[in-house]
This record gives sequence, C-alpha cells and structure tokens, in this order.
Amino acid sequence: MVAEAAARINRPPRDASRPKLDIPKYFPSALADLTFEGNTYSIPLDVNNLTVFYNKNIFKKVGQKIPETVDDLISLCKALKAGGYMGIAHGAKDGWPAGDLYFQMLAYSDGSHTMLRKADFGKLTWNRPEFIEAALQILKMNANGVFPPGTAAVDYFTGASQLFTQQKTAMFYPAGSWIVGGFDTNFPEGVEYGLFPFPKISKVQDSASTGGVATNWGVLKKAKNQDLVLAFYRIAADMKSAQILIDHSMIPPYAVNIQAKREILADMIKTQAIAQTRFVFTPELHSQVMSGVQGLFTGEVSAAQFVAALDRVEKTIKR
Amino acid sequence: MRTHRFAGYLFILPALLFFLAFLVYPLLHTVYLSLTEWAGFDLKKIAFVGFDNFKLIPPDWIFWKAMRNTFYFVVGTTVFLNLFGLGLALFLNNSTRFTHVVRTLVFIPVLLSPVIVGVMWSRIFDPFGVLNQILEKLGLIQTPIFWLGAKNMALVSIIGATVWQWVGYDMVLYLTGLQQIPEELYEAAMIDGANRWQMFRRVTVPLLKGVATMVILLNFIGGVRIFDLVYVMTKGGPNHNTEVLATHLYEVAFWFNKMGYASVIAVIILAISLVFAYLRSRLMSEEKA
Repeated sequence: MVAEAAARINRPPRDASRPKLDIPKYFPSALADLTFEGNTYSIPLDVNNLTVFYNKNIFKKVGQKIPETVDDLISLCKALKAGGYMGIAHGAKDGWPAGDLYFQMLAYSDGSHTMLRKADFGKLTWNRPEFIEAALQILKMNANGVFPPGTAAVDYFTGASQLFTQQKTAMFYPAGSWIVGGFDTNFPEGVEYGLFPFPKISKVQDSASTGGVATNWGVLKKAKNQDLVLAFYRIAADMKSAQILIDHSMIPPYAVNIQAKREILADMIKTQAIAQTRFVFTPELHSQVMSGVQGLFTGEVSAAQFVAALDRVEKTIKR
Repeated sequence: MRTHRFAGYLFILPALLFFLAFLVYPLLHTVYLSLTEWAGFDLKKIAFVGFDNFKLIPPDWIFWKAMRNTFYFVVGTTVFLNLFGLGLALFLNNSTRFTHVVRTLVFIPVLLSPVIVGVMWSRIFDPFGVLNQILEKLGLIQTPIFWLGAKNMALVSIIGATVWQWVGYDMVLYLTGLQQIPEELYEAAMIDGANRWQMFRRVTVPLLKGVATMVILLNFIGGVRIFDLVYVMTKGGPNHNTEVLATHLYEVAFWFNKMGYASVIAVIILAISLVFAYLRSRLMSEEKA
C-alpha cells in the first residue's frame, strides 16, 4: 500500500535537512497484524513488544542473574522466596495479560511461529502438542511459585503493577513501553529496573518475545485528500520521525540505527527484532484463551481441557 | 371537558415521548435485532435471519454458565438483601437520634456509583488487600483467601459486595411498610398475650407481604440485569466463573460484534424479568381476591 502510494503521489518539496524519503521495511510481525487475507489495511506507527521487567536492586540483593530458561526462572523464584520476595507480578484478572502469557509460551513451543495464525482461522485444531505444551509450561510455572498466589484475581494496572513498584515481586510481565512512565513515577528513588525476554523452554532455542502494533495509520476510502495523508505517513516513517518516536519512548516499527537515551528503551528496541506476533483475529478464540489461562491459574483447568475448550469455541464460529 | 382532557394529554406528552423514545422503541428494536445478523457498524448491513440467532443458544456453553451464575446471584442476593434489609428495618423501626444516624449510614452505599463500589471492593478483596491482612493479623487465616480468584469464592464475594451496597434500599422499603402497620394491632396483640415472636408472625409478616413481594421482585429483576459490579470486579472471570447474562451479552455485542445474538440474550433477560413481574402481579391479585 505504501509502495503504491509512493508511485502515485507527488513528493512534497525536499527538505534539505531531512534524509531522502524512503519506504521503511516494517517488521514482518507488525505488518502481519495489519494484513488480512493478503490485504494490508493499515500501516504501523509504533510497536510494542512484551518482555519481563525486573528489579535490578532485588536481583543484586539476592545474588541472582537473569534466567535463560523456565527451569532457571523457577530456581530464581525459589531464591527470591527465600529472600522474602515473590516472582513475577502478573495481572491475569484483566484477561489480556493472561492471553499474552500463553502466546509468549506458544512462541517457544511452536518453533514455526505459524500455528497460532492457522488455528485462529480455523485451519488447525488446537488439540496439538505445541498448544498443549504452552499451557503445560504455564501450569508448571504456577505450580512452582513463579507467580504470586491468587494471580487470577490480580489486575494489571493497580494490583500487579503495585506489587512490582512496592518491591514485593522482583519481576513484572507483560511489560512494554506504555508502562515505563508509571514505573518511573511509582518506584522509590534509587530503584533501577531493566528487562529481558521471557525465559525460553529449552536452552537450545533462540529467545523470543511477542509483540504487536501499538498505534497504526489508515486512510478512509472516502477521504478527500488521500494523497496528502499518504505523503504525511511516508514522512512519519522516516528516520527523523523515528528519532521523535524514540524521544517519546515509542518503538518504531522498523529497524533503526538510533540509540535511545534510556537503556530500557534501547533494550526494547533491540528485543523488537525477535518479537513474534501475538495477534488473534477471532475474538471468540482470544476471549477463550484469556479465560482458559485464568482457569490454568486457578487450577480448575488442565492443559488438555484448555485446548479442548478452544476447539469447542471453534465449532460455534460461523466462518 | 374536552379542553381538560386535551390539557391532560399535553401535560403527559413530554414524559410519554421520553418513554416511547428511550424505553419502548429500544425494546422493540432489540427484539427486531435479535432476528438479524449485524456487526453493529453499518446500518445498511443489517440482514434478516429469522430465528437463526436463537439456535446459537443451545451450543453456547458460556451462555449456560452465565445463566447458572445469574441464577445463583439472584437467589443469593435476594435472600440476603431481604434477610438483612428486614432485620435492619425491624431493629431501626423507632424514632431516636441513633436510629436516624444508623439508617443514613446504611443507606449511603445505595447512593454510590456501582463502579466505585466495585473498585473499592476489588481492592478490599485483593489477595494482598486489607481484608486478608486483617484476617491474617487476627490469626484467622495463614494464607490469603482468593476472594475474587478462586472458582467458588468469586461469585460469593460479588454477592457480598452487592448486598453491602443495596441492603439500605431494601431496609428503607421495609421500614416504610412497617411504619404503615397500625400500632393498635400490636397493642391488641399484646393485650391478647402475644409475645414478640407471635406478634411478628401474626401481625408483621402478613401485613408486610405486599411490600415483601415488591422488594423481592425488585431484587430479582435487579439481579437478572446485574452487570456493573461484576464487570468491574472480575469481568466475568476467572474462567467465566462469575460470568452473568449481562456480561456475556456485553462481550458478544462489543467484542464479538454480534449484535443479533447479543439482542437474543437481551430478549431472554427481558423475558425472565417479565415472568417475575407477571408472577408478582398474579400473587397480588390472588391476595386481593
């Protein structure tokens, strides 16, 4: 769409201070979220990827380092518990964080990174080892004290985020650029925090985070000045605009060589390169994933029941 | 005479228009939408499908879970609202400064926005919230109770918050009923040697029957329609364990974009409320007869 616009419109007068306008190579995961049946309906302004934020002061105090795998994470949480801290604050009550946790584990259990989209469109059953494994990992982490007790009843912006900023938990997930401001305000002075991608299932895997589009642009079919709109979008996608995004703690949806002033934002930009899509187009399935993960946390749902419920919901969808 | 009648119609016209525009029309339109397929965006894309949406109900296991939860909620809130409401009314049915102050305090939650009540109780019921902290300090629990996070506790907790908010309303209605019972009846009963329990059973209860059926009906209808407290406190979770008809309707309408099917759920809620209203009307007629 953007390439087509570039061919059609007259370019605005060249501003010598700006580099030559170019069409950015958007991250494939970002465009995938905005593409339906081969048509791209929108372009991303900025993206988010979900990582684990961790309290560096607590990690230093208990003498622990960043976990690489889920087993490392479980050991870490045992050490944290001995030091009087809890593991990962997680607002499962709000639903969407619970869903994101599942998609994160799926990014590891499904190495092809294609099954979620297929199941989303009813082309694959949910009763597959990859989908079951992702649920099993959540059960394993919950059973081993990675998450505080009662996580299914904790909401994201007040409950979980307060557990983290009051330093009752050493970690927080899912975290992205949207919550940095809140943490800066609410952490006591002197507390430093950083991020790492969610630990992988096995050592031999590559790390992956999940991400998605935060804000996106579109243009109405009936809009009068479409050419001007598209010209603006192209300007908004150049490197100078990328710098503006980064200065406002937003992540550009394409690779940049700009160094963010804050370490945490620089790390987020780096992690974006490994982000897998977590977008589900079918709302009934997304809703059931969220509810199902809550059920995993409360212990009333097994991994097999989790995927069975998704297949049940799939049967009710008119495609 | 004709002028008076015409003037009468003019006086009721604004209220009638309001009633038609904001009650009758939406109601009829909802019934119509239940027979259509519509995503809720383009008015030109409403497609008539007859009773196809009603066929979606049987396989919708979330609907049945919501129906069951709504039933538990209605029964739970009605029982406790009436028990505590009547109890408070009996206790406060005298005119002292103390009772006036207590009545006001009990009624204050009724004036609060359900959203505020839901947010407040969510914080109280938080696993690390004040309620668990108090219980732990008193030595009554060793580990936190997951008031909103455990399968069997979440709905009970919401019922508790609802009763806290609305007991003042039932109390006021029962108080009004109690104060309409002539004092002479109690005096006559006392002269005949009746004790307090007998006076309650033989004088108070029969004369409060009309008020009680109205209060119970209002509680039923309010319970069937519950949305705000549930949505704020749990959003129907965890895992649909507090899902009620109205929250399921909301999700189907505004997330799944199925206005037609959501309207079916609305029609079902309306039908249940109408059944209760009809039953109450029958009971009242039988009483009068």
